[in-house]
Amino acid sequence: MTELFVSPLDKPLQKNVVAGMVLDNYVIASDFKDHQGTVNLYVLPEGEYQFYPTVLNPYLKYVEIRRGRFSVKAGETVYIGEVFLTQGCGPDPVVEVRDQQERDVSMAVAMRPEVGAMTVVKRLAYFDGSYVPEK
Amino acid sequence: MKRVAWPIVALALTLLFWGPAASAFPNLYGPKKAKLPAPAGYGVVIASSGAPRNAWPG
Repeated sequence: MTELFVSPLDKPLQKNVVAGMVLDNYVIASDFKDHQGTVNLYVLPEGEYQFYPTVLNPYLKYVEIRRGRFSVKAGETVYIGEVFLTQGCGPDPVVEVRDQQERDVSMAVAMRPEVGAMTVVKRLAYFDGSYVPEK
Repeated sequence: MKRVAWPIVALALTLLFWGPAASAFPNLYGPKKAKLPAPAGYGVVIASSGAPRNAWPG
């Protein structure tokens, strides 16, 4: 089972987790019928954020993983994309960012009608390099 | 394998073959859980995340 941990960019990754994203954690209720996944909505302070996959297996340690990034601006509602694990549960997870704004925002509005009144800006998350986890 | 590891292995096998049904727990970061409206200095982030029904073995 793999999840993404989100932390502020200017702080060490693993000790400042502010949010998570479920990838192939099948004990979490899926919002989709054709794959395992969830729609997520975070309220975060303005700033730059990073995310990285972490496997929920205490005996497996990544040697090197790709780091994803996105930014948050105060008062803004931003769509950062669908973060999708195409290969996982091993030492070399493959994560992609896909644009599914129409689907995801409409699902978020269905779950939380207040979102419908917000102007959503699209600024997709991206990968900017690799990261060697702390031992 | 360390002695302390065996309870974890037993728990993992129990969950895998017998434990609670898949999708038994809610998403802690779903829209229903978010505290809106966002306070001053905060922004709202919408995203989705997921994987195929079987992402193993990676």
